[in-house]
Amino acid sequence: MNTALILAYIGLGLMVALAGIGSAIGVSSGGNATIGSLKKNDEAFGSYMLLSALPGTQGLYGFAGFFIVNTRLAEIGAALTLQQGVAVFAAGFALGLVGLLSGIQQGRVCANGIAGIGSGYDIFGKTMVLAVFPELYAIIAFAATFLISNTVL
Amino acid sequence: MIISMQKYSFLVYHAEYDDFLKKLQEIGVLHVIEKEVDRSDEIASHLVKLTQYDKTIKLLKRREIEPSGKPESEDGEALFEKLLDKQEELDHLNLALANQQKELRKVEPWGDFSIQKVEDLRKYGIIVRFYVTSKKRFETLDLEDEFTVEKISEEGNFVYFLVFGRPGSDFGTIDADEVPNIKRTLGDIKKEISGIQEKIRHIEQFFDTCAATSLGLLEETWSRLKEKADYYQVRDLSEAEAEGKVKILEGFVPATKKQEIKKFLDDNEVVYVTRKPDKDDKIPVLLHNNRFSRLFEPIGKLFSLPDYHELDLTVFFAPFFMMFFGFCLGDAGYGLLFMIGAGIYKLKANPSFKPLLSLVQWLGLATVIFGLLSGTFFGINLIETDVSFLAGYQDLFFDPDKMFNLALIVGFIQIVFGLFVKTANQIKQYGWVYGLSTIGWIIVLLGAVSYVLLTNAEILPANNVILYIILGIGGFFILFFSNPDVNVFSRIGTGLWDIYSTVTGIFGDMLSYIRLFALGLSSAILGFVINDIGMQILGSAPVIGHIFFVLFLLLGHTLNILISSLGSFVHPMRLTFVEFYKNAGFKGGGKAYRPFAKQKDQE
Repeated sequence: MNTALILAYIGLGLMVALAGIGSAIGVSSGGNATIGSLKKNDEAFGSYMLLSALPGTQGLYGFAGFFIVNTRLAEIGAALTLQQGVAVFAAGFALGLVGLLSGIQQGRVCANGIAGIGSGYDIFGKTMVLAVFPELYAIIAFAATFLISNTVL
Repeated sequence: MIISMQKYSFLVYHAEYDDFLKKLQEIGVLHVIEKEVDRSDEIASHLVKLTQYDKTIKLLKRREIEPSGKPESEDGEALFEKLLDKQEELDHLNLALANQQKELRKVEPWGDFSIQKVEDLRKYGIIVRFYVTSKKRFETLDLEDEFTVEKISEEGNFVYFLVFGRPGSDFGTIDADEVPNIKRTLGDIKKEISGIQEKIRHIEQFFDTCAATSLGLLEETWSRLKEKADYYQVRDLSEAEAEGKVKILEGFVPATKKQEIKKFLDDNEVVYVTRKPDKDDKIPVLLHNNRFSRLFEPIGKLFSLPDYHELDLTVFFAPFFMMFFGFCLGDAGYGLLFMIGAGIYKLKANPSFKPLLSLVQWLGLATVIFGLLSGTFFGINLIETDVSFLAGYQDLFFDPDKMFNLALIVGFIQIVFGLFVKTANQIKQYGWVYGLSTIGWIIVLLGAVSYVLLTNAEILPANNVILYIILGIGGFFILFFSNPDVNVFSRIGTGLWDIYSTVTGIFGDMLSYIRLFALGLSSAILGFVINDIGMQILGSAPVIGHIFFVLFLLLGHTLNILISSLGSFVHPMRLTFVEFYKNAGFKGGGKAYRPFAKQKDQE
């Protein structure tokens, strides 16, 4: 086990864990807001559910990123250079951190939208559009992970 | 496309006004201009009733009972009132039930005893009191000799007990909490509770019967009331002139209904003035699109209807939206499922639901196309899998690198297309001069890109002069026509600002299209992972392995379809509403055309 491998796998761990935590917190905010709004207006459950599910994707990007890198890492094995190890660590750190924060913040946007719909405002479409603003950066981080694994590994 | 509207002003003699309005509601083509008027009590009470009745209908619908039999009476309003009374009664009963149950919990530890006997004992000079305390304190209870203690029950850590004493005994010395006011026994309360429950059951049964027999009647009554309320509202909107002798009503009629309104006005000899609406009018918007783009109207409405004076962009974003969805989901197998599934469902679906299913089919088609392009079928990577009949064609699939570039190219195309739309919009709304700056941008962008492509292909010699000429012409329009309303120096100022904001904007916008590639890749990877785990399950055990393999694939791909299609729907929406609408200069904010009509025609 060399330093490069250790760094790489810590990076992978961060990628899956942080992005997953971000999504978990994000969807929970949505879920909590849904329960509150159901008391006021229980007919819009479909909209609530869709909005609550939106922050779930960051965790998936973390996992998809993990999958891309993991297969390559297994192929290279002990031949991994330090540069490659650091690159994987950086990719994992970036995707994990962006996934964590964007998941949480996206959850907040969704939660506010759900509360608004519960209060009778017609803002489903607008909330959807606003809610995917923060998600873009997790997508960019995922694309960066893909590029790193393509060029460095 | 937005249907053009004609403004009408009617002059009607007050005695004929009611009759006129009724007929107008009958033909249902006029969108009445709303004004700030005080609502009469009549309308206010009608609106309150409408909401109450609407809630009642929903309450009955939620019971999900198959319609059967006929309603007892044909009087819908009376039935509504009865239902409302019953709802109120039900609320009271539920409250009473909760109270009784609370009482029950208080009395339960004492068992079923007779209050009368306690009273009788008092006559013989024995006082009975009820106490509760913790187990520990009960065991160490130290009482005067004059008291007798009887333990009744234990619950958790509490002991319930009676203390018998004489009149004049000092009950205050007992170190425990007294339970006051036990006036009724367990039996009494249980009887009362079952009485209340019986009443609740009756009401629920009544609701069920109504839901089965009378929903049609109630909905019809609601529609009639709604028409009446609409009618009163429109009646109040008219202005009275000539000491109340003449009423004036104004509104808009779409050009497509011109014949109908003209026939109506001629037949009834109504005096009216008609003209094209001007810029200051708040003109309602009615969209009319071809069979394909019409399916995408609900998506556009999620953001906003266009303003009456601008272009309707539905027809322009529809093909892009479809393509983007396919790009993001990008699995030929999933796309086929969408097309076939929606097709089967169409056979027995409600007609109002069919356009949505057609939309799903179109989106499915795009998914199949992009799935074939990127070589993904139910998560199977067709580029790397050994499939004999694909052997010669595997080079044709786009690998992820190519898809990445394709996403950027598609983005560039939509942005430039948006600029064309913007030019058309500016020219339509304000005139030629106002479109010049956008034309400048199109020259710069398209010119520069074609220059690079042509020189790379060695069709054109690499000559910077050509590039400078292109940039010069475009730049001239951008610099001097960004705001044609001000003087030359201010024009250069706004032009420079326009250059800065557009350059950074277009760059950011194009990067935003990377999401198409990334979402497509992530859904493909998730599909692949599902297959991978499935294969491991298959190899793990002989027969059970096969069963779990099928179950896992079904579950896994269903989940992936649900999550990925949600993303594939929302992200193209953002690309449409943010990137495309911004570059196309879309403002929105139009109000929908709602004719004053009978209920059936409004739907």
